[in-house]
Amino acid sequence: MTGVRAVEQWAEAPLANFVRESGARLSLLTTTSGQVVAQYGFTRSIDVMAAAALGAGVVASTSLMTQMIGEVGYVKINNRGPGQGIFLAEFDTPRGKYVILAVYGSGSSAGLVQLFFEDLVEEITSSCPAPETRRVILAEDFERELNDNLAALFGRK
Amino acid sequence: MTAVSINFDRLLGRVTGIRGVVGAVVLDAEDGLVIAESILGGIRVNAVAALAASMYRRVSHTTKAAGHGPPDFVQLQAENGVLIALPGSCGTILAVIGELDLNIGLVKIELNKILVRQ
Repeated sequence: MTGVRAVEQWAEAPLANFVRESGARLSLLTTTSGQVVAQYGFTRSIDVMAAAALGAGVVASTSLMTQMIGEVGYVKINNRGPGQGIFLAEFDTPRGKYVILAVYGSGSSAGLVQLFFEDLVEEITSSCPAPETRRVILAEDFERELNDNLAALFGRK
Repeated sequence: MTAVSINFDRLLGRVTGIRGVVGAVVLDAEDGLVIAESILGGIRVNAVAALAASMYRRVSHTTKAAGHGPPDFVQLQAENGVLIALPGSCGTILAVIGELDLNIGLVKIELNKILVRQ
């Protein structure tokens, strides 16, 4: 039992390893739009959604600010409070960019979280499946098929 | 180059000049992040810094629990070498990586001289 809850199964083991090694109290893996992929330590879904949305928002706005000053590269933010610290970073994978948010306490450090973040990126990059091919949302004959089905449903055929 | 970085460069130059020392890192004790380093390629400096800070912190908890206060010299003897961690000023730690046959007594004397001179 890792304690990690994952929407995408390939994310469970890498996030569990990251949490175990880094000593993070809370961790959240999301897409850059704030869609949750896996989480550890959150007990209320409302907290997960709020953290995911805020994390994605911070990464997006920081990314734009770095572009404004002519910097390139991935956003990596660390904030250390008196009791707990927050690490927030984006990274690239074959399936696109993801965002990791980790909250750590006095048993860990920014250095440890950053160190095992590097391992997490490697593990996710190697474990995530290839991106899905873009599905055709509306097939060419969608309208004809729809009319046929409606006709069949309402006995017009 | 700032005065602080010149001081760290001088410190690291002296430490790595000790026979048997292969590298040294000055790191933030709380964050475990690298402040200055002089390490040969092939060693993950950020890993050494983060783990040395973590090790020092845990050892410190242990010695404090035993009523002895924080440690002033931590030596980790590994299969192929030695890792030494000692507290510096302003919340820093100096981590020294040495070869297996490193003369610890000589290192202690030299480090004391260097740290007193800084």
